[in-house]
Amino acid sequence: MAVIEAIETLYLEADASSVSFSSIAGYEHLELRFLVATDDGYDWDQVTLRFNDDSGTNYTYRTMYSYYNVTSAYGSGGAEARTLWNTSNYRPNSVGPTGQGGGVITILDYLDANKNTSICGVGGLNNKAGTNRGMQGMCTAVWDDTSAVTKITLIPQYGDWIKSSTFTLYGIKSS
Amino acid sequence: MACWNIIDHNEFSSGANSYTKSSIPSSYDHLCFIASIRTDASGIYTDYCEFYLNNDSTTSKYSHIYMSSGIIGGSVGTSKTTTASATLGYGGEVCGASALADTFSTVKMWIPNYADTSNYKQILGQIATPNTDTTNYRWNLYLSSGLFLDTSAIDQFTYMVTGVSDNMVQYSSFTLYGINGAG
Repeated sequence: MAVIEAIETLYLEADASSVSFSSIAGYEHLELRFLVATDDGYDWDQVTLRFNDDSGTNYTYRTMYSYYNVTSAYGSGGAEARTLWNTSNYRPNSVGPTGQGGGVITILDYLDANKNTSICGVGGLNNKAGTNRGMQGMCTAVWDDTSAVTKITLIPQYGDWIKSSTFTLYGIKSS
Repeated sequence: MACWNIIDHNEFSSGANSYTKSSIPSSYDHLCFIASIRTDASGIYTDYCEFYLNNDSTTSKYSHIYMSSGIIGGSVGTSKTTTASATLGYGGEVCGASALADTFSTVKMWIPNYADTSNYKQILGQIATPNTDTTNYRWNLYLSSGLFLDTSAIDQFTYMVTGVSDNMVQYSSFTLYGINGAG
């Protein structure tokens, strides 16, 4: 039996305000890989996660990033975990539908009822030209809840996911 | 041939200072270490960790460089050691006892070509220590690159809390994978 399995791939045939994975039991860890863009008109915004439909202010997130000649860190708390960046295909400098941001987010021990859910991710984007068009970084977040994760929802920070955005969730076993 | 293979998995039933896997077979192309860790260090938000290979604690054989952040709105820091340093392999800083309750750090390390006997070994790390506290250095993110200056094949891996009186707590989990390429 394979140690790592693709649980589900979601390829958007039409714009969507969110996507969800809900048949996710049976693994030790999860790994989420995505290549996405939004329609919000910003240079970049963040992929946000919500677990088990919890829309309470139970999430804290931190990101370390660089763009142009800037390196910094960002973080706050809220009703979702902000993670890595994607891009908009509506910006003047955008390369359009292919100008998507990508990333990998790991969710360890997501079924363990003794732990809050922690995530770690790396990713970035390059949106053609201009000092603010590319960005890359690393993120972490914690969902202050020890419940087993049974559903993961990905929501754009602003706008909708545009069609052709792709999300794949992998399950990683430990035995 | 399977691409990912489980070499070892361990979830602590009680606290311990280190995790070790010995007799690692040489039959894979790469190693991937994934761990969920919290320590019992009292009054500590982020607890310094190290690793060493082949049961070799000769600090002159280890070198590292990393970029990190623990300050919201602050610049990203870098740090490096030379082989003259008095440290083992750099393992990041993980959640200590003062971090948000029930919260564990994420540790991922890759050791490519670990069984090679012609070259020194690279160790690539991602360590994430989340926390709800916004005070500087009460959370941390690390991207690290390490070097083990030894051409021996890697057959033992140890990850440990630097403070010898500190332990990684119950429910800390560790999985070591062997990764194969095609063919």
